[in-house]
Amino acid sequence: MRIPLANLLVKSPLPRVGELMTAVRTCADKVPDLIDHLVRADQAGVERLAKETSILEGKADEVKNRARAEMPVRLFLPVDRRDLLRLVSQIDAIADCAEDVGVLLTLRPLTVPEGMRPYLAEFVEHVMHTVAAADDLVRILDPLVKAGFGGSTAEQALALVDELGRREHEADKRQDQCAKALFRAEASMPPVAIFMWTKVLNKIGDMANHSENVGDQFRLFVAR
Amino acid sequence: MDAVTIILATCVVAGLYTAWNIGANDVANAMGTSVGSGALTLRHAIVVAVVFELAGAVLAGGNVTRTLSDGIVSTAALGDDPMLLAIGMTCCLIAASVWLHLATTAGWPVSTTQSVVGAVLGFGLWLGGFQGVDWTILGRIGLSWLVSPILGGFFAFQLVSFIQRRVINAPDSVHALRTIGPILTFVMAFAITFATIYEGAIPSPLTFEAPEAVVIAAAVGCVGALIVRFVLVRRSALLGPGSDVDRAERLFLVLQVLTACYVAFAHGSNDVANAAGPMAAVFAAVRDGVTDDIHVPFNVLLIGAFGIVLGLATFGFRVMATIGREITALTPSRGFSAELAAATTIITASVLGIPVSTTHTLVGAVVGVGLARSIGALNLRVLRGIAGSWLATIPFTAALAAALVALASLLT
Repeated sequence: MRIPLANLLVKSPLPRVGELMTAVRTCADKVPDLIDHLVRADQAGVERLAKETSILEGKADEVKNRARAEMPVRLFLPVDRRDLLRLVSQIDAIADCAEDVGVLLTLRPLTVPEGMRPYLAEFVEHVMHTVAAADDLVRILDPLVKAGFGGSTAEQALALVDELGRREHEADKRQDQCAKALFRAEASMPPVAIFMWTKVLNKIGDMANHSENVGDQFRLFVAR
Repeated sequence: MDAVTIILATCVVAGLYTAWNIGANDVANAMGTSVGSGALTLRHAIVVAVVFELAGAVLAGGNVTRTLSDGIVSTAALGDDPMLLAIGMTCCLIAASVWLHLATTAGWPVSTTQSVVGAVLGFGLWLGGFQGVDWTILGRIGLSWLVSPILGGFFAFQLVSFIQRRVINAPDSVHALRTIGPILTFVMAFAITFATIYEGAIPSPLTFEAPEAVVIAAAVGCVGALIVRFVLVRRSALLGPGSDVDRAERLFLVLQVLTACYVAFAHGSNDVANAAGPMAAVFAAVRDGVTDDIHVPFNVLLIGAFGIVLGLATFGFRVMATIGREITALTPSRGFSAELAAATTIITASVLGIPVSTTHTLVGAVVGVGLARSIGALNLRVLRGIAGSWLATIPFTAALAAALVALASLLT
């Protein structure tokens, strides 16, 4: 059969990005639970959740690899292929950080300093808000293609990018509060715990940072 | 059996096989977008194809048929031996058939048009060397193969950008489409009418000079636009729930039924000639001897159209089903844009009597839509395949046709 049209119109890898975001979100959603168990000093629960997070991260990796496999060099996409690959890595990085949070918490059992408790819960909540905003943005990819990356859909996407930036900023502020609370308690804590906490806070904060990068990628999509 | 009967029989069989190939593959490629978007069911697509391919071939296919029957081979080289022309053109059809059969089996994206033109070129070269071919016409044809996909792509890009701006991203998409739809229908109705009534190869009482033809075509275009306006207004009340854009896309399905007819007509007007052109030359040679101006017999166009319908019915529906499955990536507004742009390019070529490749033009149009950032993904490897088939088709069919004529002239 001579059917060049069928060969020309291949399956778009763009829906895979949504699929990846779903997998990453499932994985990232374990982090509030993890911290919750940590606050309640339930180390067994932390270990269990860390393992779950790790498995979910593996599943997200599978989706990521499938998405990359569907983007051969000769593919012509409505967005720059390299930008799309960068978007995929940024989304995937969110899950990587979530997994790292779990791993860090199992390396050395940590206790939450009393003064940090209220800030920590709030920090995690704001980070999850940021991840949720990245999720919202990824959901608009399909309507964006339908609208040819223009019109009100593009404006809507840019508004979501702005919102994402605001939420990341809020999360940042909460991270600083946590760090301050941590260092206020430094006299009563072993230095290794301080060191580990800094790492944990950074990893949680990175989830919001990578979410913000997702937004930046979308800005490029609309701008092209 | 005498030689003439053998030649005529061979010619009809090879012509039918070429036409069968066109019906089996090219029509399906041309109409697959409408099936893929769900504008037409497979069954309806075949009905539309049969009716409009026939109409396109008979009403507007004369000019291209004439180009292929007597435009490429220079009459001076033929001398006064009508049998030579008859044998030669029959060999051309056989050569094109063999190549098409090979390509279809291997799945190469070759063009039927290029196969036949290559074969006729080979015949001309064998006949009179460099002088045996009318290089002006051949140059025009070769250039059109490059120009038609680019033009199709350019129109499709402009059209899809226009539709995006004025319909999809409009505050009220459905309402916008009720205004834009009739205007675009005008273009289609105008092109079909003009191609039919403008002094074609078949003299009929329906043939007009340019100014009158434009006026009549514009009048028909207006009537068509009014009818479509009426249909769109009625249909938009029955669209059901969904976002404004989704509803507009569903309304586009109505228009895509029209572009499906339009594409089938355009395809018939240009591609039936691939089978009918050489056959016309053979029939005319046998009846009238060598003349400068071959009169295209009506029944030759009918044989070509019949072969196409046969190809569709036996094999084309399978190709169409395959494409229909793959082309879901094209939303109705994009399929509409690609089809409208490609078919307009092809009909223009038909009026000018230039044989172009429908499939390649449509591929160009789809790439144009992709350049407007409106398709999820395109595999540009296909373009390389098409370029490769371009380079392979002409030498192969030319050499094979020349070899077959040489063999046949040794035998007679």
